[in-house]
Amino acid sequence: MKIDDALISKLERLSRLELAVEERAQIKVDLNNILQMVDTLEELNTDDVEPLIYMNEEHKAPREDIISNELPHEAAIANAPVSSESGHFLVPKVMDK
Amino acid sequence: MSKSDYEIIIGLEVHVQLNTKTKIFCGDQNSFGELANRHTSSISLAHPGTLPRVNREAINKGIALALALGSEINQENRFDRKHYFYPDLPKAYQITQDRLPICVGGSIDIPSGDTTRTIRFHHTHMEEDAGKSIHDLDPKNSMIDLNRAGTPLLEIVTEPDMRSAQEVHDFIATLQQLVRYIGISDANMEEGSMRCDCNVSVRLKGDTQLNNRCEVKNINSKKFAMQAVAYEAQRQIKLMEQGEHIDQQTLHFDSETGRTSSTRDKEDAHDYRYFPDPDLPPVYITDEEIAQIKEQMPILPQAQKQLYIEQDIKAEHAELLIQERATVTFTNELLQAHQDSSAAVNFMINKVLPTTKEDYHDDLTTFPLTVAQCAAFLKLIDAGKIIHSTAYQQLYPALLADPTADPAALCESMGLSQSNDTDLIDDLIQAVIQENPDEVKKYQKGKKGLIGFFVGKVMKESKGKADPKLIQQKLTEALQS
Amino acid sequence: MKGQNLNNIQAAIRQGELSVTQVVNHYLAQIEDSLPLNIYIEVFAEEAKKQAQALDEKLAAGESVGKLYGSVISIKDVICYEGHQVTAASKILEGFTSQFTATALQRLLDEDAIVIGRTNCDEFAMGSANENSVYGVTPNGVNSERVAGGSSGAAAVSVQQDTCLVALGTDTGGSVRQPAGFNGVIGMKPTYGRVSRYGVIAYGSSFDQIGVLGQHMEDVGEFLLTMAGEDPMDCTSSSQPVKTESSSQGQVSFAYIDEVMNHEKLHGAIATSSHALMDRLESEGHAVSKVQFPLLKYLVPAYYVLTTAEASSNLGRYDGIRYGYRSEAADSIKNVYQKTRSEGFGSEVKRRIMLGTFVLSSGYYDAYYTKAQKVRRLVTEAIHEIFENHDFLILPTTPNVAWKIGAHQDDPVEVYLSDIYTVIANLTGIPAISLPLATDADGNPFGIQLMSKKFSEAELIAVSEMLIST
Repeated sequence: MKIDDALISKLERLSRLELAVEERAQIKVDLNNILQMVDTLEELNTDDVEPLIYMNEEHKAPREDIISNELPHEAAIANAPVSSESGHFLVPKVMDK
Repeated sequence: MSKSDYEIIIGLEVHVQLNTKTKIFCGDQNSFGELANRHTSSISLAHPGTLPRVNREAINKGIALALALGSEINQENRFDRKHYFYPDLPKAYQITQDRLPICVGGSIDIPSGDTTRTIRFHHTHMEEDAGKSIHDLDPKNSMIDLNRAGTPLLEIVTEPDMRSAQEVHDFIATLQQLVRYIGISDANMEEGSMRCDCNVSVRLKGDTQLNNRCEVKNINSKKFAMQAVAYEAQRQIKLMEQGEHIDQQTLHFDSETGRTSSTRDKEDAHDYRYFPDPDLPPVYITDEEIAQIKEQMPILPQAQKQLYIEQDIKAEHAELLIQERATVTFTNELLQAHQDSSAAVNFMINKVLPTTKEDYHDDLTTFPLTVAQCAAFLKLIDAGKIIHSTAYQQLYPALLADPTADPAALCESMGLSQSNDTDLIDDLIQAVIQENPDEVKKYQKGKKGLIGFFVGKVMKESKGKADPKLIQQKLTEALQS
Repeated sequence: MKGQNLNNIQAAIRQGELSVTQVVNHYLAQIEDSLPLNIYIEVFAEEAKKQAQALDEKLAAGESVGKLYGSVISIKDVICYEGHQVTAASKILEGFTSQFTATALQRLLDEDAIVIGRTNCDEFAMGSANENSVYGVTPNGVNSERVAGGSSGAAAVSVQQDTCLVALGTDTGGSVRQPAGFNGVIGMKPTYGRVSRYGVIAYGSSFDQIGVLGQHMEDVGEFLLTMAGEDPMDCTSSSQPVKTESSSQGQVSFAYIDEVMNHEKLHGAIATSSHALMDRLESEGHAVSKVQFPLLKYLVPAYYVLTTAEASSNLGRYDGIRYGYRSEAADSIKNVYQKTRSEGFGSEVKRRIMLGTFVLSSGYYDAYYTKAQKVRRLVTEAIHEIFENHDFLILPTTPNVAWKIGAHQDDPVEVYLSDIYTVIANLTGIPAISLPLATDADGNPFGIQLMSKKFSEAELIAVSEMLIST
């Protein structure tokens, strides 16, 4: 499995990252090396093996429908980089139409 | 080829907001119409270090829906992450169910001409709603409100079984009624507690393959659903007629123009990279839990209608009575309290329901009279204490105006009791005959229909206390001489 | 006071020879002396002094205090503490103040532990050298030309430099044990689900656990068990009752892995010391047996597929919209995301996000992600089998000692591979501890690990105490 420029671009889009030119070149090399390491997993026959999905097999009860942990409005907005007086988080409008 | 050579294939994905007290994965209040960001927490804001917890009540409502739809419940439920970036999706993933949703299959019947059609469900899954973005208040910014982020949703997915815009309308109406009946949601499309996406494709009649479908998203009224489906079907048929290929697309419906249009095409928009959420172990639903919820389920609308019909209630009346669960509850209690079912049903159809619609916003729970009062009212008529018409026209409004009053006492105090004092009636009859000589002549010459005029006059003079049948009988005798 | 365990500190306090304020001042002085090591991102000096004073007043008045009174701890910059900044050593969380305290930390605060500051680490806990931080490198406390290890490098150094009694770190692939080994201190990771993850900035959700570092086994054990126990806020936390008493007595059995001891990358000094320890154990009457573990070479690949997948998902929320850093070039929604994330994350983090996104993406999910999950099951079953016949697994913490700072800048894979002995505990969820073993010829420390089956922390602590005491 080889990682090429097209794949790097796709991964950038999917993860909302924009790599600088040098970063891109380096990441391409790194990812290919890592994938080479990871490809060794193909040596193992796992045809009849169930994937391990959950680390804890306990049956947990869901929580009760009771109001809890709410933040007062000021605390909710406190960390916002940009917010409005109406208490909304603000994001600059989408420019491309 | 003409339009009638084509078949329209429609499947719906209906999102229903559940009326739990709190959100599905955290304890924020499930609120509506509040100021922005008043019901959030570190969890719904996706602060670092936070984790989700499933709301038991959301699962219970999912089970209730499954029972109502005849779906098969998955006793092991899993949750998956669905990834995409949008400002109203705080974690950059939505917790949903991709592999093991709460239930699969099931169906409901919708009216189709004189008969019904069965619409099947593919599955229903639980997921969380995103927040709200407002784009048109601030010229430079989009405003993000996360009150709604995390609200529990059930996404109900049908098979592509619908064949017309009307069926879409009827399906949504039937589903809405059902969802409200079992008390899991207000299912109000205008308010947003129910929305749907319509998947539309067309094919030549007789074809068995399904062609590419287009999805019209976020429709918030039955009327718009019909319009969108109709427009979209036409658009696709036209393309097919021109020999053009129909691309699978996501569309938006503009209710002002009545047209669908393509949403901004995002490349790779649909690689959601689903994987099982490692923060949420599976939820196991037990047989006992299902049994408990089943026990609390109301009789569903169509079954209730059948029961009414078996009780000799006319089908049209039964249809009206089953529209809302509150009506059924009230009606059943009234039928228990008052043996004459036809009188009780008439009262419901002709008085209670119209009053509720006009003066109480169609909300029977705010109707001022209790079942007991209504039963007492009906009993007065039944026992001959008051004439039917007098009761309906005078006592009933008076009761509404004074809801704490006892009907019998009010009847007395208003002097509305039926009076069959024959001397009085004879006097009144004589008076009316003397005052209306022309009509008497016309009657005696053959216009027998005027008897109603005379009865009405006498009744008015008697202030509604005399029995119209008796009046008519005596009038007929008196007019003959 | 220097280098004393909590028991002795509390004894001295009770006898009136020491006050909590003096304890705090001692550590603050140590912090001052070790400033060039860049251990702390923030020191809560005034707050700690106030808390100490309050405790001293309570003690003087004969009021009851928590069982951890007199203790001072440091917390890694990924552990949430209400009203305090937490940044995961990343620019993207610049200025973020947490609105709640991690459950595990709260349990310690409830017992009157005092937090003296937050320690540097690798960004978002991704790294093995504490070189990937927006606050710069924290070097090894024993040899400052070498790496401290990571990602909880500074946590290990904070203990090694006696700036606190114990340090809280997090361990996803060895991030508590490896720096512990490199700095000659103890580092313990509990069973997955033993300690709540609520309030721990998530990296690999099915791997992360808070771990404890310290110089004294009794303290490490006590702090771990105090934090342990089910947390309703964390659905992955276990409802198994917390056992504090070991049920193993006298002779126990150890297994060592053939492939580990014969690994081509294992340094001679470490192999020699490890074997010497095993010989000693055998001479003391414990059973020490060799076992085969052919899956060894698949551990690191499986680990990196699964953790990067989870990380790519967990880090999606960092977008500069509700908190944290927002790029000045964010002039559209697209740029809010792209510029903020590209400027806010360091290169190791970006590398792992890209890899994680790749293994989850359509077309590759089965070949990579599902495959790695299957390998995880195979490894778990193999480990389970070992514990059917043996009480403990014994193996070096790392194949190497701390390398020189900057030595592996261009070779991430080389660094990943050095996690080979630690990741096994995170892949399988078992508890593991690194104990200081010895130093190499140049004085660089290295550790020995013990691992046991799930929820056997009490036994692991007991055997560690036994091992260290002689």
